[in-house]
Amino acid sequence: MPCPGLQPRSFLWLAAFLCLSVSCHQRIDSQKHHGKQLFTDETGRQIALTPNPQRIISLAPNITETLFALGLGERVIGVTTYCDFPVEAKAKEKVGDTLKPNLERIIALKPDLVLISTASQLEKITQQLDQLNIPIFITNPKTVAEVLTSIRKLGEITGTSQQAETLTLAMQTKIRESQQIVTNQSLPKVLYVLQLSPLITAGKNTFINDLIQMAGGQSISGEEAADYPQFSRETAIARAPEVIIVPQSHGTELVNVEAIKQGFAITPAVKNNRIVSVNPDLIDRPGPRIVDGLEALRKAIHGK
Amino acid sequence: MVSNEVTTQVGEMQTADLTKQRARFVIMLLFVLLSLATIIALCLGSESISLAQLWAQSLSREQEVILFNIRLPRIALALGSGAALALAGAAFQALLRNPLADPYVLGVSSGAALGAIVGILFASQFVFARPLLSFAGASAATFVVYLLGRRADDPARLILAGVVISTLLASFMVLLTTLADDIRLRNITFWLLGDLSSGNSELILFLTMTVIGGGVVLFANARALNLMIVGERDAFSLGVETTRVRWIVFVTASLLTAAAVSTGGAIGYVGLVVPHLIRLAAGNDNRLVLPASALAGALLVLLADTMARTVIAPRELPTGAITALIGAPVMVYLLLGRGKFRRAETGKRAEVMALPLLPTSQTKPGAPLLQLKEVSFHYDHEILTHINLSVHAGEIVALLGPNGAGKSTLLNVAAGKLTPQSGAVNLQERNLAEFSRREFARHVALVAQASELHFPLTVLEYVLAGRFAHTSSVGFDSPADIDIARQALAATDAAHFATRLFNQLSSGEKQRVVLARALAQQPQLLLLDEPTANLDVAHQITLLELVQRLTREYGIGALIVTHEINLAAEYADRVALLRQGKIFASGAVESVMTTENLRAVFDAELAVHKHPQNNKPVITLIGKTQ
Repeated sequence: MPCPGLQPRSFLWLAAFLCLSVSCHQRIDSQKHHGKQLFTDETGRQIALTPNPQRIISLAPNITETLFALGLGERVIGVTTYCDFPVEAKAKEKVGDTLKPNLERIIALKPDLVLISTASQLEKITQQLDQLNIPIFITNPKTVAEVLTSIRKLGEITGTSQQAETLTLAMQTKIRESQQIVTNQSLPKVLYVLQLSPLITAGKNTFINDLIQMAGGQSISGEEAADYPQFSRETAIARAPEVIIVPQSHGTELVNVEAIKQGFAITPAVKNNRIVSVNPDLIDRPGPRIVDGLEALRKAIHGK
Repeated sequence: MVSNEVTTQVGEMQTADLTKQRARFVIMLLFVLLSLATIIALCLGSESISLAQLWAQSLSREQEVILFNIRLPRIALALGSGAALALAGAAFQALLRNPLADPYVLGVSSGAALGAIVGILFASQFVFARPLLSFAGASAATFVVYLLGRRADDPARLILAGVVISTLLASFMVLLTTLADDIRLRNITFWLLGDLSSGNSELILFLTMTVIGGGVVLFANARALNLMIVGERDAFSLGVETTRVRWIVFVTASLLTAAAVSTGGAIGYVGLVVPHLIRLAAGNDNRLVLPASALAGALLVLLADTMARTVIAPRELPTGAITALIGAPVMVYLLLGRGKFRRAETGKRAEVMALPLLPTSQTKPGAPLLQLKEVSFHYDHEILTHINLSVHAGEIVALLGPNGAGKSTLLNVAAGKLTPQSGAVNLQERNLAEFSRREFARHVALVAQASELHFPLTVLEYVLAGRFAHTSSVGFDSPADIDIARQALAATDAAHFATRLFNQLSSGEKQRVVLARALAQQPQLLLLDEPTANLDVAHQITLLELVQRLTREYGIGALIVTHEINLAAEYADRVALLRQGKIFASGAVESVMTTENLRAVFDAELAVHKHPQNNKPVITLIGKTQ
């Protein structure tokens, strides 16, 4: 029984559409494994990639920064609205933001490589792109050391291993210099204020915590299992932080410093005027600028 | 009231103390609990401070800061926002006659949240941007919702307006949050779950003043709200300036919500659940529900927040999530064991005799009580035209006519609810416009069909509403008021179910209680709007005989709108026939209720005979087919 109201003509259209979609699918299928190389991404997925991909879409600002640092700016055809560094990245076509990429736009751009950072929230789009045989590579660095590995891996799959090697060596040098400066120094207690009311800080398994440690400080919330715990102000005061770090993006304080001065007046940090603003992009984005973040934190904590 | 029988007096004393004693007990209990909880909350925290240290005042500098700069303001904010939200919830539920109403139903919280989000996104460098903008947002939302919903008496319209505005504002919120970067997004999310950690002295002072001021204003209107939960028409006829009360309560409750949300974030559940807990445990009298809700709301939020900041210290949980975790089980427990918390129903038939209660009427029998002179009323078309009608002391006047003839409109004009465009309505030879609502309610009582109550009241509480116009609008019922309510119940043969819940009565019993409430007003004039609809023949007769007895014994006048033409013929002294907004005929029953008149007015085949025993007209119907 045909549905009432559904004309024979509708069936024709439907059939035509179905044929078309099947043929598209077949066309993509036929290209599979033709001159491709197999890679394993950082979540363990096996993917086949053409060497030297020319049409790359980046779905995370840290990846965009890495690609530009590897000199691949020309090959990047799509980025997210969050990708604001380097300046040239802003001129690239936007395919939505990191959390909600626009699938239609991605398909229309005909990428030969889509790069995603951290898999968890993008499972659905990963599946969808997989079904369309659009190659996706997922990076998932969780520590500063893993950022370096990740950058090398990106160099490998994009045919820029040499540049990646140079870049990571430079980064390692900076990290070593930093470590030399803070060795044998005291370990000042640090409060990183992601948000003031309620107080949100960074827990153990975060980049922020890793960087604070590398920068020669100890976070007062460094033992917390949760990544970004809502933290007791009482404990924050009782633990007497010597440095308070607040994010500051493009000249705007994201946390009200005056309110910190009032609320934490008794802490050594406020008494000694050690509230320091740091650009969160340097700390949040596991890309090449992470070493600049490290330097910024070290200067904030040790003043040098 | 010296001449009462001993039995009556005992019963009355018990009842007189019931409300006040219960109130005192509940309030004292909550107050003690709240004090204890405050002391505990002061000692508990991620950094512990012992009671001994507190007592000896041997605190370190850090402990002092933690106690006075962090913990105390947070406790104050918890108490304040809990009290404000619960008060607002109780007020909205009563005002909207909807047990599901909460402080957020009218879009207040959405307005506040939107304001706060704008503050977080665009003005985070100013300390007061968030509270100020959220307060402004709440007030703006309140204003718009009121503009949309004010027209009708129907609270559903206000709720609808609230839901529409809430949804609209929620979409704005979603749009704004998609533009936010992730740090600000997190900021917004946490704020929406309630945040009591940012209390400073200015905010706390502002919240405290709002709670005290708002609490006083609401409490002053508690009696009026008691009447309004029965229905606005009833409340109006009992002497409540319904429009004014609605406006005051609406604005006050909205301000309380706005103050709470702008200082402590959108903490859910308190405003919905606390007033219910109080009602389940202590009844529906708003004079108790309002202050008890304030205390219980403060207690709930304080407990929730103390848990939130201690359970997984030094991490904290969102306070709003804990209020629901604590509130829901208590609510379920009370709902399951509901009967235990209400006073036991005695079911005993109290030995109360009909006493010479009521109005030794100041009007002499036969003197005009109500006079309508050349009254015309119209909306867009004429509804009443040149009506002349009077009701005298000691008589029953029946107003008869087909549907749409204007009977209800005429009754509403007599009740002061509608003001005629021309003509005069006089009560005891004074123009109706000269009467205040309260004064009017001391003279005239409206008896309509009883409707189901959304908040269960006992019969005595229901009847006591009739005393509103005679007593101060603040405070509890005096023994004298309870005495009169008891007598009114006795007069309508309803004394024995004084302690039962109104909703549990049969239709006939309800109608007697409605009449008792009218009598408790000690009126000189009764306006009865189809009082016998929904009653069986026996109850119709009982009710009308009662009205007749009241007119004969107490000199009350009665104007009855009814479709029961035979009952009218039997009990009315005079009859007015209304047709298409005009008086077709009026006068003595025998002269007006003739076959010709009734056929013309009702446009139906009927015949009028004479009753074989009392010669009164008896109307029989003749089917059109005959």
